[in-house]
Amino acid sequence: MSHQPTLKILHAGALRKPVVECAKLLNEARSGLDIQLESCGSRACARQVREGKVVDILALADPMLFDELLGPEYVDKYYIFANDQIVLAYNEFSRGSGEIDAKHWFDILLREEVTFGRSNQHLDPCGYRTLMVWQLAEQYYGRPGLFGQLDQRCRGDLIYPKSYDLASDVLVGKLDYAFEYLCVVNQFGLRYLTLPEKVNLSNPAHADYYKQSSVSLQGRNSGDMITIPGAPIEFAIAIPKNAENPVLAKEFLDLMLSKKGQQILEDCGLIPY
Amino acid sequence: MKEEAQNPAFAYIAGRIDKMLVPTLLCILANKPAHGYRLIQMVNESGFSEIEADPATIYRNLRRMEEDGLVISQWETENTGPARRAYQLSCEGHQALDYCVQLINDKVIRMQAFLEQYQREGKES
Repeated sequence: MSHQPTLKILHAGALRKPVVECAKLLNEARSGLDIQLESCGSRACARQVREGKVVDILALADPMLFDELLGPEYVDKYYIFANDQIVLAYNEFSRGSGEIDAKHWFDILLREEVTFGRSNQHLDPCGYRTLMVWQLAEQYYGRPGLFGQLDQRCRGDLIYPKSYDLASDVLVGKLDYAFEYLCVVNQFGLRYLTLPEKVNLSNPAHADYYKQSSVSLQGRNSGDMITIPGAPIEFAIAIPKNAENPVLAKEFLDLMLSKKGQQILEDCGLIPY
Repeated sequence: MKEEAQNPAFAYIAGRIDKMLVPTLLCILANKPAHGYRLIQMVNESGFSEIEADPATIYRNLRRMEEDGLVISQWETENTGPARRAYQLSCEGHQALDYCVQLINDKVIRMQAFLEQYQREGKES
């Protein structure tokens, strides 16, 4: 019986399309591969690796997670390969979408009949980044109490395990609006509102401004809490130290970082490095 | 100069010299290699560029400059921890910077002449 080489990839939901496209390319170049893809929120991905899950490639939506949760025991090197921003996603039937703009979006979200969601900050970086966006918006628009108002309206079922599921529910009309990565919005073909650069966590030129926001999260060990400051949104990829197929993993990683990979990332709405 | 201007990369630079983004990137990289994240910050801090240095603009320009042979990029892989794609100036990039300096110099001379004429006419009227 022939042994089929296997590549196990665990990735942030937001990276689904570029990871799938690169996996297809690798499959074309090396037939007979068994590529196993699995996705969840990036914090949940990192925790699974800490708890013993063995993968060959780990692609996350925040480079900080490699240091915070995985280094140096599980990962000693990671590649920061793309940038993105938070946008407000909606569909053509979302209530108030005809009036929404970058100056008044929060007034529309706070209307009684409007629903909006975010992802869980303890599982998914898009969740804590959304909370940072709300803090920055409070300051940028000079609206004291805005963070608390948005937080109060977005509770319970409106908090999703990962941002990818959030986009799917906006698409089918279960939610009017969601705070999402631009790359996910592009993957779903959703409409979106671009937020001001000082709010959307996109630009390293505003890194000091973003630092004014912060969110408390569960740390490495249960009961530990850490506070993380706002920072420009970046994605990173690594081959964990315990990868079972590091040679094949290196081929995949090289492909993601190559010119072809850059084109795939750009086509998916990311800004490749 | 005429020969240099025939290089497609140089023609591209000449067509956008007023925006000052490519000269600024070349000038920063002439001092030392840098990765895109830091370049975005340095371009904004410099105040030279007429274009807002958002990540999409900077990375698109860096990729084009690499295709044109003005910069060389490689992943920093020596140390453990985070690795980023670092850019450094090639020999052709240094020539492109010299070309930018000449274009800017010519422009400054013409603008200076304009200001002097304006001031002369202002005094006469």
